[in-house]
Amino acid sequence: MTLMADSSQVLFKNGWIKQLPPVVPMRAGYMSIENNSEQQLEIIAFQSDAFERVEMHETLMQDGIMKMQEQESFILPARSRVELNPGGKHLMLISPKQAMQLGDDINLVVTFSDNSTQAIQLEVRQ
Amino acid sequence: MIAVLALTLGVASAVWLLRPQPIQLQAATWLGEQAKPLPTFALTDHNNQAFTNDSIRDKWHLLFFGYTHCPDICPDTMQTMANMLQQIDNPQLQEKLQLVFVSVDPERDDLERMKTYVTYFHPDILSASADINEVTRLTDALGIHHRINRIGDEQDYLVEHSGALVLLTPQAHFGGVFMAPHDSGKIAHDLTALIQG
Repeated sequence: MTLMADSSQVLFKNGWIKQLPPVVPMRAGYMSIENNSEQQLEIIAFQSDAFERVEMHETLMQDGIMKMQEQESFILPARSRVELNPGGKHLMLISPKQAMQLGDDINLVVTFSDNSTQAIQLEVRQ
Repeated sequence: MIAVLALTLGVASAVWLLRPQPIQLQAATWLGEQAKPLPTFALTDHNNQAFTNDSIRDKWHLLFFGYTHCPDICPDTMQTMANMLQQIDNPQLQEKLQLVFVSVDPERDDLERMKTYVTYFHPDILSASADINEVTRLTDALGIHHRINRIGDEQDYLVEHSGALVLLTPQAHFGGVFMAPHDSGKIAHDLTALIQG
């Protein structure tokens, strides 16, 4: 029997999107991702009907210069927590398709490398 | 004799206690007397007014260089600046300080977009820009790096830029810098100390 990676043991906590004025076509999304399984897992995509596109990024600071780099995936080591925070790993949510109010919950679908998916929600916050 | 000694010691300690205190800064790299004059620059603020060497005199200016399409670090820094302004919590000091967002992406950031963006964080924050060469003339003098990373004519391009905040003195000199990551409380403390002198 093959030991399957079990993405159902991944918990997404405290997910939120930074509210910005509608003239700005970009938003950042943050969350805490807990991998409670015994195996390393990999997230290969986020998708949302509320945005044209969702990318995985990391802000890197080198000699005081802020540089964003798109990531192909987020690696979740076994029994660990990965934080998406301002100034670090984050989602880049491009071209909102709808107006968003503070407190709105935005639906996203997370796809893992085994093609399993999980539905999550991010709250729009100040 | 003892009375004279006591008096001398008393006067000496009073003089010592009342000596001018060096300003204790928590976050700023302050140039002090080494503050440097700025090159001539001519930007336009979001009210379509000149933002130049002359217009910034008589007030302290804290500049952040970013762009409105920046999803992560710019909103975070703008929020920090807005929080910092509230933490100063002294209308007289706030009067003497102007926060300014300078766009390093003038192609996408027109005045109206910048105004909507910065006033979203705080109504008293100003924004300014000019064509990229004019902006770069100022940023070069301040040691602020920025570069547009664009492939072809894509519209979702990113701009790498310094996260530093630059402090300009009321004499329109480059007075100091706050390096990222930023702590609004420490910046509020330092600006309060510097503005009060």
